[in-house]
Amino acid sequence: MSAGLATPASAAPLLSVRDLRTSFRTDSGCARAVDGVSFSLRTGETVCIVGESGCGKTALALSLLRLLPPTATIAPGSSVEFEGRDLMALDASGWRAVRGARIGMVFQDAMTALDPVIRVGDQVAEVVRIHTPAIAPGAAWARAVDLLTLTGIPGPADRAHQYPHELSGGMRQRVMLAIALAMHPALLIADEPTTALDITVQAQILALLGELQRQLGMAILFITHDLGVAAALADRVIVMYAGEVVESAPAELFFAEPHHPYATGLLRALPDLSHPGDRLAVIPGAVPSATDWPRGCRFRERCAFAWSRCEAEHPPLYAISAGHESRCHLAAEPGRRVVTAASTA
Amino acid sequence: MTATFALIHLAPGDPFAGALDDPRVTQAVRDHWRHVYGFDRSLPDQYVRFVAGIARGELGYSIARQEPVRTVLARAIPNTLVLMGIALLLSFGLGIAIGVVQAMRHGSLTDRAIGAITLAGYSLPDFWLAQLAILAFAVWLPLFPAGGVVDPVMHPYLGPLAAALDRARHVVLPALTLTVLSAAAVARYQRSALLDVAHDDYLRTARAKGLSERQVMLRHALRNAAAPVITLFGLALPGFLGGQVFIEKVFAWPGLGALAVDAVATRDYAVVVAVAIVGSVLVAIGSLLADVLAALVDPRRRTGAIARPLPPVPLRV
Repeated sequence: MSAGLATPASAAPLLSVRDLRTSFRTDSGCARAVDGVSFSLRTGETVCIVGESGCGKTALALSLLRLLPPTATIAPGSSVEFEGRDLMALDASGWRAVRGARIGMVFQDAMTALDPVIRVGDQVAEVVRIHTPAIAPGAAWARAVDLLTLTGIPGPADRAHQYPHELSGGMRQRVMLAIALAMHPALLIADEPTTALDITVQAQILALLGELQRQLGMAILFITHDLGVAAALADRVIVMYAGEVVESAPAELFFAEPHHPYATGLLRALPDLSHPGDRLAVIPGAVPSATDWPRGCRFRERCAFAWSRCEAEHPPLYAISAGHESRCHLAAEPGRRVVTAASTA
Repeated sequence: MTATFALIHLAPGDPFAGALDDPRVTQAVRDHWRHVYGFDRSLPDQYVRFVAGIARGELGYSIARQEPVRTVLARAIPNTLVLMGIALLLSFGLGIAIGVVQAMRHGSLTDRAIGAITLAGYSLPDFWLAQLAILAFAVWLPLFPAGGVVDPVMHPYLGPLAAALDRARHVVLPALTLTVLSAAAVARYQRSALLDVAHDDYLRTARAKGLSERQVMLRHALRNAAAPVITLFGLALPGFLGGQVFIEKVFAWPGLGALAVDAVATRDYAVVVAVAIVGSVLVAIGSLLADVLAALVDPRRRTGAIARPLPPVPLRV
């Protein structure tokens, strides 16, 4: 699309992240946790960011809302555009209008993410009051109870009077969800919201999330290490590794034809219930340190296909097909995949 | 109570040491007075009579002052309560505010400058600061009276408003001295308590909701960081009694602290014990109040889910 043409508002993505770089000061040097990540999200779309611990996915989520600890910095060239606004240029009061109102966020551990000394009803009502200054306290409380009802908490009027430690893990996460959705945000960022929950509660929360998305029409950026969760929710899957996007594809395409060796490795590592007792496939090695990413391809030391080019040249995101990208030189030299594929199976 | 009784009787001398140990007083006279007040009885016997008296609410008779201990206390307690109340309110109000400001600007020059000042305030000897205050604001710059509760000459002739003003002027220096000393301690506790919770997840949630830093601090951080300061408050209540001993003495403030100093000096057994009992009552009240406050602030304490943590550094209030 040429720059001179006006684009209709509906065609512009809701969220557009370009070259986001977030680093942390640590004792062992500068950790480049998010290292040039770009992606976009349309209204109503669900994107899953998948990766193992330490790949930068949480740092990415926190960067989008500027909720990083003081040791973190976002590099000047990074750009995050949301609803046509440049979030990186927002001042403190600009952020307050976005956080909790246009973008809701759900955190991993609802036990620690909820204030332990405030009634959950008040914690939900607080978002309403902050973003609706004229509202009467009673109305804000009633709204909080409605929201708790919406998230499927049984007996919401009574539960609203309770404190987080009096609720179960699943209910606490529903409260988090009520807080995040209180102002009907256009975007919900969910950072491993189901990781701390047991599997049946996890399924309930995911179903609820899908249901609420249909009702409220919001986009979801879902961060998880669980490919099963991604398969259940995602319109698009983005795989992160060592601070970078290594593969991005529509969900169906991703699960049918993953390209990057890291992505294929992750998918092979899923337990296969049709062959119980089989040993799980593993990806050898561990994620390299963010203070010292390897030269060339960051996955090459754990990759069965790696060859000289992988060390010499940092792979760009190759376009595999429409909407499918992979950061692997195999895209340029597909012949090399066959050679050792058998040895890792 | 028993410990106080034992300790004061272990000290040499008795209430008549000053008046009767004069060589010109005959042994017969000494024995007579000791017999009248029961000091010739055996210690266990004295102890039983002492405990029985306490149980009946009889605090005894002040030999040095020649009046019932009850009367002595009734005169001293209101003075101490006034000074303690003002100083407690001011020092906790001021201390918490300073701690909040420091925590919000954690690591900045402001934080470090205030930290140096509170450390100094925390370390100053109270009697020295009290004398310095007198020197500065009563002698060099005679803004306030140097001591006493009211003007000894003029007070009876003042109208109600002027009399109140006279009292207020007298309380300023001792109250401010106490406030400076303990506000410094409170500020240090408050700051470190706030920094302890600064990285807690619920504060990040509060920011994600769209709260300003100020709202995050006042609505969420402060309440979660209240426990150590509440504990400090509970300990400060009886602590102020001890802390006031020298302050009251220096400012000639006729409260419990000054009373205790005089009573120990004159071996006025009954008064020493009575002040110690008041102190124990304050310990109990302080501890009860701290538990009630802690439970009000943190619902998890109501069910005993977590215990009241001890303050992080040794106390000196």
